[in-house]
Parts: sequence; C-alpha cells; structure tokens
Amino acid sequence: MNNRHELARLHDCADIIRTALGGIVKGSARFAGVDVLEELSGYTQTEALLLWALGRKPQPAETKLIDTLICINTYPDIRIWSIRVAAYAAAAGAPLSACFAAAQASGNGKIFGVGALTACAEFLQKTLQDCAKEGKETVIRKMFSGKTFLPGFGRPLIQGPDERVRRLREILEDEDFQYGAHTNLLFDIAKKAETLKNLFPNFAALFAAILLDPPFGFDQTRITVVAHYAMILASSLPACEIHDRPLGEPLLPLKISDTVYTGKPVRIPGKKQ
Amino acid sequence: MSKDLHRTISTSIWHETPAADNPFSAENSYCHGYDYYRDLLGAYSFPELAFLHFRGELPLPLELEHFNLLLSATINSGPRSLENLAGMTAAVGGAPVGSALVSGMCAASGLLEGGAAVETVMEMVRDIRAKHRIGKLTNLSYSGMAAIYEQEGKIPGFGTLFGAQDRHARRLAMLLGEKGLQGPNLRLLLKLERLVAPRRNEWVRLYAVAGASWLDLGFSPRAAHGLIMLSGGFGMLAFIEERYGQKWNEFPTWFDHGRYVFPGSAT
Repeated sequence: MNNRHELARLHDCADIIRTALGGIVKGSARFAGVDVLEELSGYTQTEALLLWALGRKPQPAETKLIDTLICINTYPDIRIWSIRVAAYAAAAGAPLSACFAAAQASGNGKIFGVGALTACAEFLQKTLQDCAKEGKETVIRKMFSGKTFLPGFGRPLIQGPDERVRRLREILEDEDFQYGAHTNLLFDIAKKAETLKNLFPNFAALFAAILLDPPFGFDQTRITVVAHYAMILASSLPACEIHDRPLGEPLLPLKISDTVYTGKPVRIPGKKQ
Repeated sequence: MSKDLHRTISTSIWHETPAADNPFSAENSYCHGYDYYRDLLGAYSFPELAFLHFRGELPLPLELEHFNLLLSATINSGPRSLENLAGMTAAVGGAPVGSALVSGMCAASGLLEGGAAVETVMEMVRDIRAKHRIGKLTNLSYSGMAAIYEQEGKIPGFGTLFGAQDRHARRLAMLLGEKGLQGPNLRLLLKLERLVAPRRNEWVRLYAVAGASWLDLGFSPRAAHGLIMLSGGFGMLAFIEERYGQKWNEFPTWFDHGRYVFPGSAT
C-alpha cells in the first residue's frame, strides 16, 4: 500500500534540486541573488552571511555589530566545553576538520553555545507575546513570584554581572544604538532579577535579544547559523594550537583516582551455555 | 567534451528490487545476494551480518570468533580516553546525544590511537611483509625499520598506555594465540616488538594488535579504521548517555585558579 501524496512528492523531487540560495552557473556561481565572482567577491565574510540572513546587502553598521558580537564572545579557553571537545580531538591526532566538526557538533549545548542562545531567544519571544496579552508588569511579576528558571540569566562558573554584557552595552550606547522590544524587555527583567535574585543576564541573552530585534529580526535558523559562525574562531584556533604540538603530548590526563566508580561490585560472569 | 556524468549509485553490497507500484519502495533488499529481511534477519547475529557487509560472505565459525574478539577488544577505551572524554564533554554541555556522539567520533578517528593509528600500523605491517617476501628486508632490524617507518619520533603501533606497557594489548594477543587466531601479520607485529621494546621502552598497543589481526582476518586498513571507531562507539555512547543523568558540575572543569596558563593569565 502506498501513500499517494508522499509518492507524488517523491516523484516531484526526483532528479531535480530546487533551492532559493543559489549554485554553480556557467563561469561563476550565484549566492543569495548575487553573482559570486562579479559582486560577492567584494563582500566581507560577515556581509555575505548577512546578505543571506537579511535578504539584502547589509549596512556597514549591521556588519560591524555582528562582528562585534562575535569578537566580544571569542573566549578561546579550552576549559569551555565545545572548545575542550575540539582540543581532545586535536590531542587524539584527528584531522583539523574533524576537530572543528567536533566543536560545532558539541556547540549545540544548553548551558552554552547554540542551545543556550536559542533557548534565550524562545524565552524572550514568548515573554514578549505574553506581555502583549497581559502587560509587562504583570508578566514580570508572575515570573518572579514562583520558582522560575530564567534562560539567559546566570553563568555556570562565574557569579555576578557578565563582563561581555557590560562591554557590549558600552559599545552600543556609545554609538547611540536603538534597542528593540526584546532587548528592552531583557533589561526590564534584568532589573528585577538583580534586585530579587542577585542574577544577571549573560551574554547569550543579550546576543539573542539583539538578533531578534531590528535591524535583524532573525528566526531560529538564522540565529543558529550566526551562533555557529560566532563559535568558529574561539573553538578552532585552540584546536590548531593543540594539533601543532607533538603527537602524544598529554592534554589534561586523568589518573585512575580522578574517576569514581558507582556501579556493581567486582563479580564473575556465569558460565556461558 | 563533457564528462560522462553518472546518475546512478553503483554498489555490490546492497541490491533492491522495486515494488510494482512504487519505484522508490524496495520490495526485496539483498545483501551480497541474500534476502536480508526474509532470510538473514532473525537467523543470523549482528556480528555475522556486519561481517557479511565487508567480506561479502557470512563468516565461518572461526572467522566469526575472530571478528567478535576484535570488535569486543576495542568496544571501550575507558572513561579517561580522549575520544570518550570528547563525547562526554559534549553531553555535559547539553548537546543532543547524536551531536555528542559525532564529537566523540571525530576524536576517535585520530592518529594517536584511533582509526588513523590503526590504519597506519596496518599499512606498515603490510608493507614490511611485502618487502620481506620479495627480499628487500632480509634481516629485519630495528634501525632499518625505524629509518623507513618512524614519523615524528614514533613508530606506528608502539608506545605506552598512560606511561605503562599496554596490558590490554598483551591480553588480546594472548587470547588470539590461545584460540589459534594469530596470523602472519600479528606474528610479525609481535616480532617487531622484540626489536622496538628494548631500544625505546615502548611496547605494542592494543589498537596495533587489533589492526594486525584485522589484516589476518582479511580486512583492509581503511575498513579497520572505521570498525575500530564503530566498536568503540558502543562504550562511548554508554558513557555519553550516563552523563545526561548527571549535572554539568559532576564532571571535571579545571576552572579553579592556577589550572590554565597562557600569556597574561597571571594578571
């Protein structure tokens, strides 16, 4: 038995690829509506990313903002989980591209990286929608009346205000950047969070808010792509450094006593039949 | 002149016959000639069917025992190995299980003791046997071997495991011997160890014993590269899955002071 609709879709898609992004044409390629050799060759990489994400050539200030967001977050510390994953792969002698893949795959975490960013974005979007129905004061009051988890607040390892948030705000306010609705909501929540819970917004929250608001207005896909793009420098270069060391140089080797066994006691298997 | 571009996939492994009313749906699926879902599934074990994929035939009893032993030997490199740590670290960060497995597998392909290491030692053993057969290495000597095969101060397949002789390698070699599964490639590797060990205080590694034995079983270096990764994937996945039941701080972080040194770190 067949599903006629599914079968029709298979026939429709067989032997043809349809895409809005672009591809190879004779003598060049097209990317998001522009000729790669004639036009895109004059873009910076971030401009090319924003051409796709915005559907138009970005303004210089927009490109600069994305670059600032990326650079402020370039903490090349191997102790950060996704960077450590790449470093382990590099220490194991994996090809560099595999090390980068390891970092990107693990970057979809919840306590950092893409997962944290998209969770913040979802939280801010939903909260803004609730505010439109119930009013901001009511929503924020309810938020703090019970035991609520606030995505984008606090950091697992460091207490207190996030230094990246402070610095980013300095830069944006120096340039008279106009915050949007999600960002202003974040700041309103932050005031209560600091007063009532001594909690502060982390960089992921501000990053997400800025991407949600004008001039970007990004959806989850675009937020995810920008997040992965943002991880590249911080996660790949430490892996390169480890990769260039002699093969076999230890990286954070663990002693037996660094593991704690919590399983069944030593035993002998039953006789195999 | 345009190149002759193919629009079909050519394979000797898997043959599908289309259903009469749906050219996308497989009526039958044959693996190396056998109807997989009608005649093989439920009648043969996972290792037998895995062997079939690579060798094109179902294994003989001794081949199956050999295959099982090699896969079992590399099923878990322990919670302190780089590849398992990579997978676990990704899981601790909250990455989905598939992503964590990808991260760990990227590390498991490495030249230190992963897939690439197996492939390299197998190529070395194969090369030595080929040269030995045609008389180019009539007296196998350490200096002769090192001159050809030493790379970056290492001889493929030899070293230590956390600074000590690799006990697991010894155990696997012994088991293969007891079961009559030590073939010419493994015997050569063990002979090489008698040359290497006194001079370098390095011994044969588990992945090398497995690799030489994969050659004896008729597997290519490239296939063994992948098989050692896949077999280790079971232990890796178990460790990854275990992490999801634990908090992020129930795993080493090294964020305490003094653990991370770089220019400017003292300020």
